[in-house]
Amino acid sequence: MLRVENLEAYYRGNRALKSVSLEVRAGEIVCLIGANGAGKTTLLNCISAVHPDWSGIVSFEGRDVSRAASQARVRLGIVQVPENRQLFGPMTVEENLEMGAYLRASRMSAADLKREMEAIYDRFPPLSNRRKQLAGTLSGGEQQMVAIGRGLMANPRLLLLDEPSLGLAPLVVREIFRIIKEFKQEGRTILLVEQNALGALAISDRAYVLETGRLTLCGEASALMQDHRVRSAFLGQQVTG
Amino acid sequence: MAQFIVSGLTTGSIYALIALGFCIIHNATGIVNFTQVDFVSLGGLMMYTFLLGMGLPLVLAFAVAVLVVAGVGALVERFAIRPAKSRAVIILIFITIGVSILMRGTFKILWGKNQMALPHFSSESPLIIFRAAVLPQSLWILSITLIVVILLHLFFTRTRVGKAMRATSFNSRAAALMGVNVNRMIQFSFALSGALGAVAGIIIVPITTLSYDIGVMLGLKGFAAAVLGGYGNSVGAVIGGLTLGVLESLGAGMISSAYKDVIAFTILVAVLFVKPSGILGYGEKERV
Repeated sequence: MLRVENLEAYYRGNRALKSVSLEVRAGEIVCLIGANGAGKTTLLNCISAVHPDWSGIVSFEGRDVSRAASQARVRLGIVQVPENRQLFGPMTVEENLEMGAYLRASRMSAADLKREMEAIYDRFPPLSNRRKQLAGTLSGGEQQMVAIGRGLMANPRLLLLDEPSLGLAPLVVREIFRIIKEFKQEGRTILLVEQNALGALAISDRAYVLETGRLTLCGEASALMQDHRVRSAFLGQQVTG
Repeated sequence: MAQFIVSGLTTGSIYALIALGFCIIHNATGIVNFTQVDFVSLGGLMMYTFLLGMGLPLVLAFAVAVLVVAGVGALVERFAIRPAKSRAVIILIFITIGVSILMRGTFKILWGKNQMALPHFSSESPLIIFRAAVLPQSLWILSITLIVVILLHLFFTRTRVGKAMRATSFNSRAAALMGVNVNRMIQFSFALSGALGAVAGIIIVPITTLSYDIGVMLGLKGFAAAVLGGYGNSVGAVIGGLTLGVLESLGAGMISSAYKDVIAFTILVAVLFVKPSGILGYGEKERV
């Protein structure tokens, strides 16, 4: 579904990604794990075409979209839920969800839009009585729900999730991972970026490990979980905090 | 007293419209757009050309003049701001100062240096309201400003594009990820600010005079009003505009009208010294 070939990206003049190639097949959850600063977010931003300085080939469902602007990629169904939620804080929950459907809203009836929004509230019940509340005033977990809901409103074919568990309480993290698994059952395709390697590997089909801008390992998630390099680099790190 | 308040609210409305223009572009780009003052002049000049030069009916001349200035605003963004290699705010502000001077020079060539005049929208004989003599044009100014502010509010809270513009101002990266064309939103904000400046110029010129640089003093006071209200805050822009207009008018009436401009800019300096965040500002963000 998504294929990235020889992607190189520069961040403040330094090469942040070095010849990265990866693939996400339809219906898969693929996770990308790596330490802080490895280039995970930069990679997602290149896929979403919001990173200014990059080269390489990005193709989606067999089409080369390397030259497509960010809005064209969203229209194709490549939708990112960015790191740290990045909600429109001074806007209401409802307005944030509406913004998710920005490109589709002009071609949708108000009733359809409303129905889809109700589906988001059904999926995230805590949001349903906070519709008119400003997104910036919600708790971290609720904000993450709005961020994912906003992404869903774009009707993604490929959902790019950037650190959805970051800064959340363990119970909320478990809930977020459960929802991601639910997406898989609904047939959605997901590229998940996580520092929480254990949690991410547990729900993923395949995984890539990114270290200082280079993909160093890839394989079945269950196999990588047993890999001693992964264990020492990521899982060990978590045990010792 | 009532007299001073009415005339203060009248000029204050103009400052409020201009301040809103400054505010919208600030929110979209983070810059201070000095061509805002020329949008005001150009509004008056276009009205002059369409109304008196081409003989269009008042309402049509008004609408066309506003649209033309909005278009000029969009062009300023497209050819002066977007191609700039640097995104640094200070560089972009310098560009707007340069473009502003260029625009004023062009107006001088096209319309000349002479003073011009525009007729009032309706009768010129004042009405007596609360023992104050009020020009019908003042009522036009107050009501048009009110309508514009309401329309603007509805635009930003009810329409898809208005919401996208707000979203872009809060977080342009996230807006881009939702498929919003951020450059186009910035261009819209220039067009909208152009339209606001033009409306201000068109409605005030009948009670002042018109010249190629009429917008400069009005525009700088609009800027002062925006600072007074809390730069970038649109409610603050309206409050700041009206407050500045009334203070200026009261000061001119009680001290001397010769000091009108001094009063306005003393307020600007005082605000910047004492409470730089303005009336509705949220305070400077702490630097970590």
